[in-house]
Amino acid sequence: MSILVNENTRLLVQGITGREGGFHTRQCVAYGTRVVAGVTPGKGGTEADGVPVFNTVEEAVRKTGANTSMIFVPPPFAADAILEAADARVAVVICITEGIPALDMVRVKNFLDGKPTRLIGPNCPGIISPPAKCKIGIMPGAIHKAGHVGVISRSGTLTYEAVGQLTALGIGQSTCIGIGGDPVIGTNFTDALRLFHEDPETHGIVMIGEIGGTAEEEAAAYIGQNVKKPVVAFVAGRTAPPGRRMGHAGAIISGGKGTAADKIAALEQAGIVVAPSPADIGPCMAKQLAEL
Amino acid sequence: MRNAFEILLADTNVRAVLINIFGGIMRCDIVAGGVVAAARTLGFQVPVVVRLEGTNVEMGRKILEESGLNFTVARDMKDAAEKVVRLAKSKSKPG
Repeated sequence: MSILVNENTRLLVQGITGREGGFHTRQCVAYGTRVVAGVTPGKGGTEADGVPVFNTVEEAVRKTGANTSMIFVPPPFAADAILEAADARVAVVICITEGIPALDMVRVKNFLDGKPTRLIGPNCPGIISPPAKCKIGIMPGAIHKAGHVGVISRSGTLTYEAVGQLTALGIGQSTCIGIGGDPVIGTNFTDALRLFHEDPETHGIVMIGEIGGTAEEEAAAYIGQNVKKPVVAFVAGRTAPPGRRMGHAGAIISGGKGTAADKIAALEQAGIVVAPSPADIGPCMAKQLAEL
Repeated sequence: MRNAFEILLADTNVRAVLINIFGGIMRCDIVAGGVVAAARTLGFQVPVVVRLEGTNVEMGRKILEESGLNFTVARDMKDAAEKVVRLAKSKSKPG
């Protein structure tokens, strides 16, 4: 019914006492997410909206059984927050923070290699599963509907746009994941595609990419070889001038590589329907599902 | 919002403005209030198309309608794109 999060998710929030951390924690609780702990060094023993706050992730996990973490820690300290969560053996770590230095993330990726912790983000809206009533992140909960389409995206607002269209067409979602707009991220398209591929409750997949890097090309190769479920893709940045960063740190055509045209060609070659405009994502998926 | 409009409208080649907001974190009523305030202060000379969706969308649309200002309100992303292109084309090239 969902991937990575479910009704057994017990969430801890790193940075719960901050303004954004506090606001979005309340939104997650309102959606139905079970928030069991907060972590802010130096504020252990206090409470935030009735949620117990601890000094360290290790203590929070030991005392509350938290198995998932959402990170709202400012950029200079966010990499360390991810490392601390992984060290405490938190299974899924969702890092919302934008602006973490790429070199910090290289260090984090290296540390996570071979460890059981799965990282989502950073610089992402998070993950939501409407059937599990579990929202971990900053997306607007009300636009979602429980159902069977999985959504994976590098862009926050385009995810909301796609989800809004699906819901308006009566098509619900199994899980929606924002994988983040940075050049160095934890879970990539292919990782998320594999999970949706293996999830019997996901019947179709929407994948929203953008210029920069080769993640879409790798995803196209994986889908072509493995995924039999219908996939609708969209690639943002078709008119982006080479060398200009388009909103996200990772969204840049460098050395002529990472153009939308290359990505669209790779996806279409793998038999994937590529929506011509962001306004067509929902209708394209509706058409694909109707043909099943 | 006001700063954004000042930057955009400083370019005399701009023939129409499209505001497309899917309010996730940002609330639509706040966006609408900002657009109205900027319009009153700066006095737009070009057509403005606004598409709002998401948190507090009804409040946002009401603020735009009740402002008495001449905004074009769009239903969705496609509608907004079509409307702004039509308005930009209908406005003669700035000279």
